[in-house]
Amino acid sequence: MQTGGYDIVVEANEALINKFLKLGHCMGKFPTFKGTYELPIPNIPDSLKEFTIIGYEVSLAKAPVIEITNDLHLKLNARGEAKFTVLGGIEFELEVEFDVGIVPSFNQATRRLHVEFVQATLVDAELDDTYHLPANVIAKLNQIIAIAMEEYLTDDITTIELSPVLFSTELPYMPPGEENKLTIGLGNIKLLNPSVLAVAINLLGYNGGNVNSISDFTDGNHIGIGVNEAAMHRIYDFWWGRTTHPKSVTQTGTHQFDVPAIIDVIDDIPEWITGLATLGLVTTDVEVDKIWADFGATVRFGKFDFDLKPGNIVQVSGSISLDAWVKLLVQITTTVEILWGWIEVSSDTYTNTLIDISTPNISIIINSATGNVYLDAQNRLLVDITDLDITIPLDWAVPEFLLNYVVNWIIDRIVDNLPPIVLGPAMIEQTIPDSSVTVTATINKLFIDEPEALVAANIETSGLATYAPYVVNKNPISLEVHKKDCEWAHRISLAHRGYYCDLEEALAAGYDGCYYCLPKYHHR
Amino acid sequence: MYKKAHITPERMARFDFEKVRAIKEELKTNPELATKLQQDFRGTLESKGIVIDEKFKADVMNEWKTQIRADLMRSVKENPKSKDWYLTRVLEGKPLRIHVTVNRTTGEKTKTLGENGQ
Repeated sequence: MQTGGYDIVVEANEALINKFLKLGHCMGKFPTFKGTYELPIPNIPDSLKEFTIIGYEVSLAKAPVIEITNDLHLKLNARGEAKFTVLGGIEFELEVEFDVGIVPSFNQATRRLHVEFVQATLVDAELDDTYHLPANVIAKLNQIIAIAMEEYLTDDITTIELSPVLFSTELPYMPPGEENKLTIGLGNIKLLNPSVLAVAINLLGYNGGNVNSISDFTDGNHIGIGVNEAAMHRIYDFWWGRTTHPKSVTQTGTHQFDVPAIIDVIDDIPEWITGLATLGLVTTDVEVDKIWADFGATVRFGKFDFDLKPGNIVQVSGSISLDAWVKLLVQITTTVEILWGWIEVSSDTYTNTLIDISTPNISIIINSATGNVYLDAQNRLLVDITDLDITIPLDWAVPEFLLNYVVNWIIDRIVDNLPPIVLGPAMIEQTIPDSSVTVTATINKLFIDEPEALVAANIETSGLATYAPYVVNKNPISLEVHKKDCEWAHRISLAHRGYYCDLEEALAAGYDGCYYCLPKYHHR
Repeated sequence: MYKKAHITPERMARFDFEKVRAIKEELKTNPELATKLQQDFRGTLESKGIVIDEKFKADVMNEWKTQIRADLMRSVKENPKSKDWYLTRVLEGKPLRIHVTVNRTTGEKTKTLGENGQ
């Protein structure tokens, strides 16, 4: 069991976390930070005080990167530019690199992996020494940057999300209200290896699980989500007790039979009609004009039992209560009037109700049903039943053509109206709250073993154009990068427009800085 | 029109309803009664003391179901191909056990009698 006995285990690959850090960077979650630091020099005259103040402004040139270290700790590395203002107005820029120790957690409210920077520890801040400054100056500037960075992380950023919304608390066909959503309890977080961290989550008040039993099932994908079979039963019980999905359905039908379908009893039918119509007392000539059936069924479904088996097989069993009725009607023309109250007269023809049966509360057993677990369009774990044995104790001595037709019709109604077997909530929500970014999960693995279902997927995001601060012109005769608000950016045709979150990436991709908005990077 | 048939007394012989059994016996010796029945079926029955009410109808239907069952059993017995029919199970007093395979792509359902299609 790879989910360690927890209800749901979500495993996030380092690549996914960095993808979301990049997204956060693109969306402006790491704003430029600036401030001042006053050198603690005693007894300095007021007229010189302004020279003790060092201004700093730090911007991240590219998105921070998270790394899981070999000793299984998380480290956030950020690189940027630090602009210092000293001696009342002299500015100089240095590159700066930070390493921050972070502790990820699962936000139960947002259902996303995140980092709360209040728990972060600045491991290292290092300025490059472009200007060959004295060592003690560099050390002091590093100290200033470290102080500033601590404030920045705890006051300005506070939290950064590292994943999409991992799963929904809502199940399909449920009434509104918080009481009808899954309740979440946090199990534990574990760094499984230098690539993957796992979050163990319990639902609906369950509190079992052993974090040491969790193993990596991402298979190199961005994300893995495992759902324990015990959790599936708990979820299904919760769902069944509250769902608005119809558990009972009533349907009716009518069908006109043609001769080939009833050929086996065609000789009997005129006799039956005459026998019933005349109580066997009168002979006549009979023309059968039309034979049809009116029928109906009320199907009441009970909760199913299910059992996961190896090889993505689910065994399902359950019972159904059925009310069923059928009438076989025959329209005839006869040479004599044969009325005793059974036959309805319609102009010169008679409609004879040859058979009229109604049976309530037939107890139908469904056993040995098998199906497959699948993910629907919303990535919800459901069961698709593909084979089932239905036992119907039906004591209907009616002609075969009628019995076959109506029984098959009833079976179709049962199969078509089977309520879904909901095993899990929607995984990996397709939207990111408070943004126009959409998430697409490409499911690369759905593995069902006896105790659990394991899903692994790669995640792509789209809709970043709203946030990306740089716009490129992909036209081969241009190949320029612009700031988003540059008027030349607005003139790029949609066909040639591309978006970048990092200027460095755009430059590395071969784009030249715009003469007007990025003159520092304009080289052509 | 599906079927045109001339129903002779021989073909009617097996239809035997207890409530009109006396009339059926009388028909063997009283041809006029047959004519009367053909001219005014209900009136003739009532003149013979038969009350056509709900109880009468219910009694007729019970006998009718028995007759249908007997005819169907005969039909099944005469037709060897019918041994796998749903009807055979019903007439033997056994529940229908039907295996259903669902093609989720086409929605087609294949049904075979017996558990696991056996």
